Order: sequence, then C-alpha cells, then structure tokens
Amino acid sequence: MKMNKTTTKLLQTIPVLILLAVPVVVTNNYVLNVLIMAGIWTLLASSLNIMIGLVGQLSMGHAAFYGIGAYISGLLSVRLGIPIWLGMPAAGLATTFLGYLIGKLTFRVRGSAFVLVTLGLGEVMRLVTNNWMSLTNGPLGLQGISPVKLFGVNFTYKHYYYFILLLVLLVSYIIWRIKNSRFGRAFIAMNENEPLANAVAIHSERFLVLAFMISTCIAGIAGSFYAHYVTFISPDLFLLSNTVTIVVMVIVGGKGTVLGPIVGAIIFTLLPEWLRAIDNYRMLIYGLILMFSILFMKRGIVPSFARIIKKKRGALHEYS
Amino acid sequence: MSILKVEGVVQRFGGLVAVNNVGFNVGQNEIVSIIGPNGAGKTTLFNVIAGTYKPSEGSIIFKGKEIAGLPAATIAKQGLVRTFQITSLFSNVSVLESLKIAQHRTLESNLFNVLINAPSVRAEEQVAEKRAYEILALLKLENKANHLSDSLPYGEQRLLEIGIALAAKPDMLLLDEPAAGLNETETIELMGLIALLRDEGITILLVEHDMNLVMSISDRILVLANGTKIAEGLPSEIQTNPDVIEAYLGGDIMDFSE
Ligand SMILES: Nc1ncnc2c1ncn2[C@@H]1O[C@H](COP(=O)(O)OP(=O)(O)O)[C@@H](O)[C@H]1O
Ligand SMILES: [Mg+2]
Repeated sequence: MKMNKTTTKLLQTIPVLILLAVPVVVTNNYVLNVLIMAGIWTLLASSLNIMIGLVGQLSMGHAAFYGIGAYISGLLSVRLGIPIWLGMPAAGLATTFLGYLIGKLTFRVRGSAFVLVTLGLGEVMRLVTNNWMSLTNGPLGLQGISPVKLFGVNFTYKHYYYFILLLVLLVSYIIWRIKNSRFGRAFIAMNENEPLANAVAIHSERFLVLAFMISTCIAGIAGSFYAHYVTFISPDLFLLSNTVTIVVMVIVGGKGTVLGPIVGAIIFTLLPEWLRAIDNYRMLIYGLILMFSILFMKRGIVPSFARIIKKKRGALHEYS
Repeated sequence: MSILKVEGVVQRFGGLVAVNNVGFNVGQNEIVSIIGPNGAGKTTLFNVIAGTYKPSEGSIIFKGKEIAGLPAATIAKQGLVRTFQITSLFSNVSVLESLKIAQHRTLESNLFNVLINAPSVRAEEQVAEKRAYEILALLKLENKANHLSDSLPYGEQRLLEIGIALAAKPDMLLLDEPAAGLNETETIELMGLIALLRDEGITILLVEHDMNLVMSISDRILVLANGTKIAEGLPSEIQTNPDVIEAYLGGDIMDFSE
C-alpha cells in the first residue's frame, strides 16, 4: 500500500507544476477557455462524487445547486452590484443551507425520497427562473454579470485559469483530507453496510446530511464562478442533461476516488471539443466510450488502472 | 450491579408476538447466554435491545438510562455494541480500515481540524492505527491487515466481526451466534477470545447454539421459546430443567449430555 514517500510527493507535485505552467505555454484563448470549463466540471464532478462515490447516494439535482449558486451570485451582481468576492461565499452558504434542508427532509425517510426530491429541485428551479421575469429576466437569461476584478486588475483568461485551478486544488485537497479522516470513514461505512455502521455508533442521517452539505456547497461555488466568468446565465443551467453529464463524469472517471472525477470531467469536456471537427460521429464516439468504460472498467478509469498497478502488491482498496 | 435491565419487553410483528413480556438483568462483567430453538425470538430481542426495532412495550435500561426506542447509533454510542447473526462486514474495505472505521465512537476530531490536518488529528489517527493493529494481533490477523474483508475465509470473517465490535470499545457486547459455521478449533479459539474480552471488563450477552460453548463459558443462561422466557439460571440448573428439555424436544433436538 505505502509508496516511497518521495515518489508520492513527486507524483503529487509534478502534475500541479505542469498545470501551473500551462498559461505560460498556451496563450490561445480558445484552449484556455476549454481548460477553464474543464475546471468547472471538475468541481461539479468532485462534489457529486462525495454523494455517489463516498456515501453512495444518487443526487439527481446536482446541476440545480450549480444553477442556484450561479443565479445567487449573478443576481447579487446585476441587481446590487456585489462582486464575486462576496457573491461566491453567499452562493456557497446558500447552497449549503439548501443542502442541509433537503438532506434533513429526505434522509430521514430514505428510500427514493432523496433521488426524487433532488430530481424535482432542478425542474422547480427551471420553472422559477423561467417565469419570474422581473427578477431573473426569464428564458432570456441574466446578462451583464460583472467579470472578476481583483486589486484593480480585470481578469483575463489566464487569470480565470489560475482562479479555477486554485479552486480545483483546494476542493481536491479538502475531499482528500475528509476521505482519510473519521468523517470519510463514516461516509464509506454507511455506503458499505449501514446497519453495521450504526452498530459502531455512526449516525447515518447526520453524516449523510453533512456529506450533502459539503457537496452542495462546492456546486454552488462552481456556479458562482461560472456566472462571473461567462457573465451570462439562463434557466438552461438547470437542465437534467447537465446533472446526467456530471453523473457520467463521476462514474466513468471512477467513483469514490479523488482523481476519478477529475479524469472524468477532463475527458468529457475535452472530448466534445476535439470531436467537433467530425461532428457527425461525435455522439457515436461519445456513446462508444461510455459503453466501453462501463463494460470493461466497471469501477471507472482511475480505479481500474490503480488496480492493475497495485495488483502485485496484494493489497487492494476500493476507495484509494 | 446490573449494567442492563430488560423489563416487560414485547415485540409484535403484525399479529405475531416475536418477543413476549421478556425481562432479565445482566450484571457488570457477566457472561449471560440466551438459548432457545430457532424462531424463539433471540435475534429479535437483540434487535430490540440494540435499537434496530422500537419495542412495542417494555423498558430497557443500560447503565442506568432508558434506551428503548433510541436509534441504533445512539445506543452504540453509549457503549452497547452488537454483532449480527449473518456475517456483516464492510466488504470492499480492508481489514485494517474496517477496524479504523469502527473506532468512530472514541474519535472526536472536528471537521475544521481535519481540513487543516491539526496535530490533534494526526495524534488521534496514530492512536486509531495503533489500536487497529492491537486488535489485529488479538485476532491473529496481522498478516491480513491490507486484505479486503470480503476476501477472508469464513472463520476469519467471523473473527473480524468481533474485532469490529471491539474496536468500538464497548462496555457491553451482544454477540448473535458468533460460532455458527465455525469448526471445532475455531470455536475453541472463539471461546478463548470471549473469555479474554470478559477479563478486560466487557459484559457479554451471547446468543449461541453451540451447547459446549454456552455451558462452559456462561455465568447464567436464559432460555427463550416462542418469544417467552421459560427458564433462567446457572448452566447446571438449565441442563436439568424439565421445561427446557421439553422445549428443545418439541423443537430442535439439542444434545446437553456432552
Ligand atoms: N422483521 C420481522 N418481521 C416479521 N417477523 C419477524 C421479523 N423478525 C423476526 N420475525 C419473526 O419473529 C420470530 C422470531 O425470530 P428470531 O428472533 O429471528 O428468532 P431466533 O433468532 O430465536 O431464531 C420468527 O417467527 C420470525 O419469523
Ligand atoms: Mg437468530
């Protein structure tokens, strides 16, 4: 299980250094934009992974929390002139609180309540943002959200890139810490065997709610970033297809691992861009990859590769 | 002084009365066994005591506090930990990790300290790891630390279940047929383990079919049949009790003579 300490450190630092160097080498705004979007999807996939991968609950409304974060931050900006530096914490707090409420309500009854309520939330939010014209400008969308500005510097693609990279690293670090703590162990225990988890004093409901709050907080923050980056948001953010995309990223990348959702998010953001040139076959190739990974890498890309590498060590671990 | 007091407990499932007005005490550091034919209500009684079911009637006092109807995790938190009749493990988790999971009850670090990896958290994690290895040594499973729980042979899985319960540092253990499916050597080892746990101050309530084990290890024995307590006493008294013999002859035939 234990790798050489310096090897591990290198394996962690080298990718980070490469990511830091990207804008120095890549000056093409189109490429930077794709990478920034990959960063946003990474936040979403990593946060959903806490539910699907760790505690084992399917949230079908993840895009709703993303959209709510975007609308809160966007509305604060457009209606009250509040910058992202306040809008983002506000979005994060609001989605955390909503996560708390929905968690409290649905995890007590169990069964399919959680899946259904989260599924419904996206639909409700789409209707609200579509019809509350005076507040949200309805289907036309909210325009003129202030771009990010710090110490008098207007953010360019390069700045946005570093900003989202910082968020991704921070979120990955947080998830990694949680996973290797008593909290993460409680999450995994509930997922594996809830009666046994209860028998060793783990309160399922409490930890499910906590996991969901962390998950929805990150989604709200991702939404806030998106709103101030694109400066335009519409009710389409709440489309179920967005949630489905996030779920696919988590599953194909490898649920339960820190790296899996990152890999999934990058693949499914870059792939549609590359396949744009051969647009006719795009959906076909997309579907084939999905089928291939589900058939041959049941646990997802990252755990499957980890499994091959670790095989000779004898020790295996689903969640490493 | 009794650590557990069960009084007038009734558990109904629709029309079926699975546990019918059962009461008994367990003294501090005793080993008390519950025996009875299949379907007598032993597991149901465990489920009621451990909080899986809320009893239809009755009171359960653990360490001086009413626990009847509390959530299972709350009861466990108070130091009453149970194992399951049917093997129940964290299947896709390593043996070592399972024993860390199970220490939840005694770990206290808060989320903020975890995120900044505070020294207190690191210290706590080290203690948890050390304790996990101590339990592994006790179970003689040190060389399986990094194996998935699922991959262990059956006998070791049953041992690990007790190890998991033990990792929670219980004051009292409810063991539901821990010897079921074990061979003779494994059963003898299990007996040694249970005796050791008692020496460490843990009170034990045991449901078991293996009569050798029950008769040799128990301080007192309780007999259930059709949800009702039909006898209670020392092992020697139970072996010669005509009601007990009758109950067993009416249901499963059990050999007391060994
Ligand atoms: N959840 C349940 N719902 C309905 N009946 C149950 C339930 N659990 C146990 N029973 C019934 O209660 C009786 C006692 O079962 P149990 O406690 O498992 O017996 P034992 O452990 O002594 O073999 C049986 O008739 C069983 O079918
Ligand atoms: Mg039983």
